[in-house]
Amino acid sequence: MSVISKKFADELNEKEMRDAYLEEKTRAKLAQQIRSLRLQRNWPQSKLGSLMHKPQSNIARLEDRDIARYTLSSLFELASAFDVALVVEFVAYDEFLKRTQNLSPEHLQVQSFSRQALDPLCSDNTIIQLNDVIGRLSGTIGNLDRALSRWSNVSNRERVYLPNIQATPSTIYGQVAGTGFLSTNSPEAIVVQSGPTMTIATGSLPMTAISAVAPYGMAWITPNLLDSSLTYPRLPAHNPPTDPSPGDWHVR
Amino acid sequence: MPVWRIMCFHNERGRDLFSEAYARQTARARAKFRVTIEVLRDQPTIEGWSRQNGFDLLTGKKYRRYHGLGKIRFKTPDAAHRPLGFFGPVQGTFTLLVWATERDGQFDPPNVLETALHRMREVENNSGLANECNF
Repeated sequence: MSVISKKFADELNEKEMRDAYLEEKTRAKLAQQIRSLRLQRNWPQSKLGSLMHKPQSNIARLEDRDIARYTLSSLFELASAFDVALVVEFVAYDEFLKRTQNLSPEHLQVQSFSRQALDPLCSDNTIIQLNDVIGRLSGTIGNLDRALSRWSNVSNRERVYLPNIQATPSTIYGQVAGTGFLSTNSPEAIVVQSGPTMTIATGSLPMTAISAVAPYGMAWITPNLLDSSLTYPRLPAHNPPTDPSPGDWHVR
Repeated sequence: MPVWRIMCFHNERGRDLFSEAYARQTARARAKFRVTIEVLRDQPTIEGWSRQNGFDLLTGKKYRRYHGLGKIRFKTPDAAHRPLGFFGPVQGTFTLLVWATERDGQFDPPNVLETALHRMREVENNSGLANECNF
């Protein structure tokens, strides 16, 4: 599935439209994510307000893209209250469109700080232990048709072999305990193959972790999943290993 | 992948009347409309189609005749926009019918609810009139 329609791409050629869309989409994503993070923690607006030393009405405004007045200060206060990090950066439009493609509440959820999650950052980057690859995965799992359709649209895919995977396929639908990461800003799709079954999970924009599941499964990860600051072993496409040995990731 | 599929009403001659109206809007209105639709289409359940996310079903005595219609809600400095549509013709789909604005509780153009109702009935009788939007 395309990120945007050709018509819209043409429309973005118009500077006024581009500027307006950038502002509206950014405001919408912020409002949606603030609400999503709050609901993820089961907090009423008043609880978030008390953490920020602000009245509940201020929180209601921050969750309304039409009236919110976002400042860097207010965003830092929110980041502190949720105990999550904040990224503010200028990017090219194609990147912006990809990153803001999915506004579903679950897609915008982010885990609070965890010391354990930092461990992989301290280890040898070329070898990532399986336990370091456990994290949180959310997103929508479509039916097989949708999955196959999505898969057919994943271009330039690369295969990363994740041996010794201990979870069951079903856990890909939910949260997996533990920490670890394959750092990413905007994963497009994660494909996990377990025996004859292939599952595709999409929509994990804010995730800093992926969990690949299925015993001795294969995970195909689109290139933008991979943090360029780390080196991951990759497999050439269409060449899955058949008899993986437990342990670290392997390249074949 | 969006949860909801957004469609547009096309008349019998195949004209996408909604997208034609969309194209006549200001850049700000088009941008706000797009973003509102993008928020709504990603809502996992119908409950997400809420006023907070820019949507209202037409309910109450005043709109009894128009049961089933809903309005996308957003404002620009010059107008309160209320594009009208309905959930259908198939599950998981919302079909945009006609672009409207609202002032002091009155829709503009004044007959827009009738137009929307008529188009909704047409789509219900002929789902082929709901097609991909041309915007």
